[in-house]
Amino acid sequence: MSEDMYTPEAKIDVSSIPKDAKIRRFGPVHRIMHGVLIVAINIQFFTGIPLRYRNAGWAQWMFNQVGGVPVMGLLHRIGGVAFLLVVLMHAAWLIYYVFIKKGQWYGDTSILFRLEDLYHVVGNIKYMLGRGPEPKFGRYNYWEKFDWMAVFWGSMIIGATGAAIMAKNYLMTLNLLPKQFYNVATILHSDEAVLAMGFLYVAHWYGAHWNPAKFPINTVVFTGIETREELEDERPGEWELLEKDPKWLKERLIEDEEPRRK
Amino acid sequence: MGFDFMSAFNALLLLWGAVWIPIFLVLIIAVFLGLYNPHDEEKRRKWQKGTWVAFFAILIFYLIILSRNHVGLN
Repeated sequence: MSEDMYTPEAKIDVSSIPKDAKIRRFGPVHRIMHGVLIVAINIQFFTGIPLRYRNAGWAQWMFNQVGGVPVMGLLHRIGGVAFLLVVLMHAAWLIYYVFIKKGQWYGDTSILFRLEDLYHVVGNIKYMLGRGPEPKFGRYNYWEKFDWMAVFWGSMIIGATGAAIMAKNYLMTLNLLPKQFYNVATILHSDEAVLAMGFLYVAHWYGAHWNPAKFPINTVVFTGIETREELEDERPGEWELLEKDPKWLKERLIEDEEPRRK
Repeated sequence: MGFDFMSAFNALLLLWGAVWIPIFLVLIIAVFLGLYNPHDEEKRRKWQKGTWVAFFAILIFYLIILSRNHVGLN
């Protein structure tokens, strides 16, 4: 390889990076977690919602397809365990990211809400009404942050109440909690599930896949890769950060089989 | 028993999900097999048309199955 060719050690000339250059957005851990979450949460919806409306005719028909209410309940518990595993996997990753990798847990590249997101919400409404420029979104825009937060708080409520309902018979023998607790837990569990299903099947799918720029599917969460053009267009704030930090850009830039010329 | 709005709403949401899940599954498989590339605009338009065809085909298929089994919203 001649010296004028790009090597990971060489300094990156940002202007030489072509528009179709591949840049990593999600690593394998996040992609696997998202994949397991898709499977687990859809099992939960298709088994849990009929259990909530067990007297409805359509729910009865669904029970008959799988072999009855006990089978549906069993499938719901299996899905629940898979869901809790994803939550634990994510918690473990967060601990690794913050305490071992010393990653930024709050700031420009964090998924946590900041005051800037409020300005982006106002700016985006103005943009959609044709009264201002598109906000310069960073690594995660406000609706992506909301997607993550929704799963985060949803998993707390659904996970805790689901675990309590699953262990109801054992917990009742301990006499720690009043009987009414389990009724309230069931209502919280199923109401949060309806909220989650409505949000995922409408807002998340529209924001991620059905918006005209991405329809029929946004591939980034499955392949983990986006192009420079997409990144610059959709997340100019993040691209500016990458331009200022060649080391980070080098880490995320995916080289083709043929080395790219400087 | 009267009409239960929330039961019907949830049934419709499940039907909506049941229509889109197989479409997304095929699209995800196509992405990994290299059959779908979002950066090839011409091919993307074909996949967009295919998605709508699949959407209506699956929806009609479900509606036929549900009506033959007398499954309603309540």
